[in-house]
Amino acid sequence: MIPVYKKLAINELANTIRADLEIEGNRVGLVTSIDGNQLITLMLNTRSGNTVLYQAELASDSYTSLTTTIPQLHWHERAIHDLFGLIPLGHPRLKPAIINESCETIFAPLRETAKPISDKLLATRDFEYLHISGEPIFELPVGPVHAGIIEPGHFMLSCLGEDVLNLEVRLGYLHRGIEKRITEIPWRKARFVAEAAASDTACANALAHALAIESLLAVEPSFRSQGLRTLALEIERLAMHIGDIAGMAYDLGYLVIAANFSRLRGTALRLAELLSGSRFLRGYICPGGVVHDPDRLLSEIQRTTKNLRENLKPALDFFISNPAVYERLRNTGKLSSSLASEFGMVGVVARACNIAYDCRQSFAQGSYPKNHPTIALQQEGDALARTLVRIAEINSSLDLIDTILSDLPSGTIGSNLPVDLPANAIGIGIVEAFRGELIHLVITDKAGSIKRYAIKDPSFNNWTGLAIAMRNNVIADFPICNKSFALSYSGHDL
Amino acid sequence: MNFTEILCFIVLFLVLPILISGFIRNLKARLQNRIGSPLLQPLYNLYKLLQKSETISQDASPLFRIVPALNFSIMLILAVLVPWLPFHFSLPGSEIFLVLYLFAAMRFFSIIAALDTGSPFSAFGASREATLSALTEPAIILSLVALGIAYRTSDLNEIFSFSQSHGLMQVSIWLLSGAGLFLASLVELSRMPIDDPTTHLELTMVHEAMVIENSGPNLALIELAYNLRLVVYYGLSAQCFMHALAVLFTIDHATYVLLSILAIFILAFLTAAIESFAVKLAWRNNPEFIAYALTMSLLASLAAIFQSAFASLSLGNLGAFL
Amino acid sequence: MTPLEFLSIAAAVFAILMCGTGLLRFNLFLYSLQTFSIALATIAQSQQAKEPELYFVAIAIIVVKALAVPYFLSWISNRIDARSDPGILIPIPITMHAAIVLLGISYPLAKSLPHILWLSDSTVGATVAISLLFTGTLFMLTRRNALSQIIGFLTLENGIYLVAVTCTRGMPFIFEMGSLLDVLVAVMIAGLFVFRIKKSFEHIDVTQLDGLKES
Repeated sequence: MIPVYKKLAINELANTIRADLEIEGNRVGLVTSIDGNQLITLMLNTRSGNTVLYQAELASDSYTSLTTTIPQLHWHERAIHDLFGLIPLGHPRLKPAIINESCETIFAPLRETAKPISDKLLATRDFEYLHISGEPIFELPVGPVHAGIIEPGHFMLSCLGEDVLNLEVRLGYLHRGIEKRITEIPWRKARFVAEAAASDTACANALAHALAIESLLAVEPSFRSQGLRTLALEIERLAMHIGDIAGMAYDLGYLVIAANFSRLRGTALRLAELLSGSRFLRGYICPGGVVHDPDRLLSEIQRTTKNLRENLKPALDFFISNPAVYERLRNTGKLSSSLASEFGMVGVVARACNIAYDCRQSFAQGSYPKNHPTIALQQEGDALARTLVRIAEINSSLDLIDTILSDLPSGTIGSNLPVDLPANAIGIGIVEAFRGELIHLVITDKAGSIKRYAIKDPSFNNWTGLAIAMRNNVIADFPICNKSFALSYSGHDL
Repeated sequence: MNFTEILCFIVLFLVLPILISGFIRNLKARLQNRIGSPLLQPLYNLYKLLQKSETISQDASPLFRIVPALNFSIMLILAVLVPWLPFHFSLPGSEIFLVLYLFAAMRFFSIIAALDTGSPFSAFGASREATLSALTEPAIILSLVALGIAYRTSDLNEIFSFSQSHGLMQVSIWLLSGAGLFLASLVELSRMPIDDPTTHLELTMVHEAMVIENSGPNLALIELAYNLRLVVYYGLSAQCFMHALAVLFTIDHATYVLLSILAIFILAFLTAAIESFAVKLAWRNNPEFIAYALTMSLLASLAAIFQSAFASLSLGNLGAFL
Repeated sequence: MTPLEFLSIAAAVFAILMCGTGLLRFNLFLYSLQTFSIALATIAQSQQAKEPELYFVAIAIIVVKALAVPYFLSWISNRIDARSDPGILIPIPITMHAAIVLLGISYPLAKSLPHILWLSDSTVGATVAISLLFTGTLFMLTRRNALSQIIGFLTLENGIYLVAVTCTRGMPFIFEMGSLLDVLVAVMIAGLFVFRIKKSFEHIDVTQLDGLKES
């Protein structure tokens, strides 16, 4: 997809974004910079599927914060601050989004190298937790090293007795410099780095990358490869949703069901292995198509899907018909619909708050235009609603896999790509990963090499949602809240 | 108590704590279609922990070092005092209230040791433990006291020694007390549905959070004391159920001993089943579960009061008495 | 203590335990156990009083009240997505403890019943019957959900039945069967009503009925 490109003055930016957000269906996709000299804003229209990219040049290292009027940008501005060394003036809670205390000086990896970094930035370098004072307040630091095998992230819970007054999420322990690395390597190898942005979302990341590159090259992949890509994406969604429900069952202490779901996740991963040769679908999708045609294995995939469906149904019924599960999840981690839209929630979290946004419909590609699933919506916005949305999506993914398998177009799976990327071009790929909207944005320079590669993982939007949802819950509900959001740490940190 | 009985007691006393916790763990794994750890895994764990060196918080006072040993010794005394197996030492100390206070003393020491380290996790673990035990203690006291009222003595050995006549009323008292004790012991031992002993989630734990700062041999002593406490509680409620059974059927002593051990295993089986199939309660809903333990013991006391009222007063003046 | 008394006490205990949970499925399960004990008590009574037709009544109770009715109600609760009851007035655990106190009060009340009812010494049976009446009423008073109201009503009905079985020689067989049929029909109609209420108001919270008053 190629966005409409518009240049703006920096002082018009806030008003333009706000005016755009007034229009039904518009949302902010991504706010970032290219090399620290400008701000770029990607606006998406979820109704028409149109995208607009605003570019506003910056005169200095600071600009008036957009967060004060558009709250959902607060996290974007933090990331811009860290990666480009730009200061949003008037940002209410400016703190680093990556860990940079360990560096002696300011570390702004994506900033134009020639440009000096001002000392003013040092003042905003350290992470300061929101301090809640008072005699009975109890501060509980959790992480970044956790007791289970999960990614690192630090949570500061300020509690009054068992009630959580505030949750502060601190991430960035997994910053690997993915966006920077992609600009340094040949574009044909970039897909391997792009899909490592979040390894459980490998397929969606690879697909978003492929779509972005294909839009630059104006290449349309064959129908067969489009079908196979959609198949891969749905298999990933299926496996990860089952895994999330297994994790939820573990956190509820419902061990038998949890063990069962873990086993079924294995079956779903087997589908992925049959399709691509990798249980996590790594290296399968490439710009121009897919790398491997599972021709002879398609009937095996069909059989395994049937088997999975038969085993999954009783387990899901058993899980959700248990009134104790119902009671435990209901009203836990509630997120109101208005806050969810104000902070730009995406994916399962948004749909559980009755926000009908699914990129499979809004930005349909692959086989989706032909047979897109109905959006699974829930009203309540609590952990139960999120679980129910996941269950509905498991079922719709199974249906979709069957549909695609039954009429997969024949033809080749790859296409020949030009050697060079076009110069001064912009391409984006938007994919509904299992967590939600995933955006890859690629901008090339005069010579046709990648100048800026930006990834917006769905978790980037949703971490704020977790912090909001935890308020006024008890401490012991935190694992369940966290699991019901099921966010990615590495996808955020990049 | 003859020599064979003492020997049996010592063997069971040494073997059961390890075996029962290993059994619960293994059974839970089996219920999830896993092979699970060997039955003696708790023993291997203890051996491993004893080999390790200790890491102690800088803020901890010597109390923190002493408490595990202290609690373990109290637990050893309790294991002899409480009639959790069908053998009775005729020791003078098996008073209901002494036993209850010794349990309370252990809890008190673990709570202050947890607060001693200054770690936020063990502090909130301790706070939760205190909340839960404040809720559970009435249930344990009432179920033992109900038996005390029914048999007009506060000596546990005497209560658990078939010294009195039995009827269906006694069956209900024994059953209700046993059920009350078992439910209360699930809470007391931090098992499901109150606390999940297998979880790694430090934010939801109670007992595990409280001892989170302990390591090495200290942790080994705590684990051992915990395992012992588990069999003592389960043994006591198993004895209650066995007494109810013995009222209904005549059982000779050897069978009775075997059945008692079997009953402990059945309770362990129940625990494993609950832990596999139950959903952990929300922290705010815990009182609803504990209320059931209290209800059982209240009903047992009610039955005991009625029974002694029947025994002491003729039916005619009971109305006047009430 | 006779088996009849033991079984009726068991029924009272199950009724009390039923008050302690807000989950409708467990309420129904405990109601079913309670009814089951009452059916067994009926069998015990039939042996004691040599009234063989009570056997049929017991079997009918098991089939209708202990199995069919709870099954029907749990089916409805799943259909209308009402799985639990938050309770009103007093917290749910306290309800259970209040029911124990009421069981204690039932005893002197049973003792002071007019002697015309005494056929044999049925104090325990009468105590349990009165306690079931209390428990059922308490249950109805402290619950919000229309389905809970039905369960409370059924518990009350069990109490009335137990008075009939333990304190009199039992009603004529045909009356017993007739009342059983009435209960079945009542539950069916009430269930359908709940269905309708849910459809029109989108909830089955009986406390909201106050809002329907004309002011």
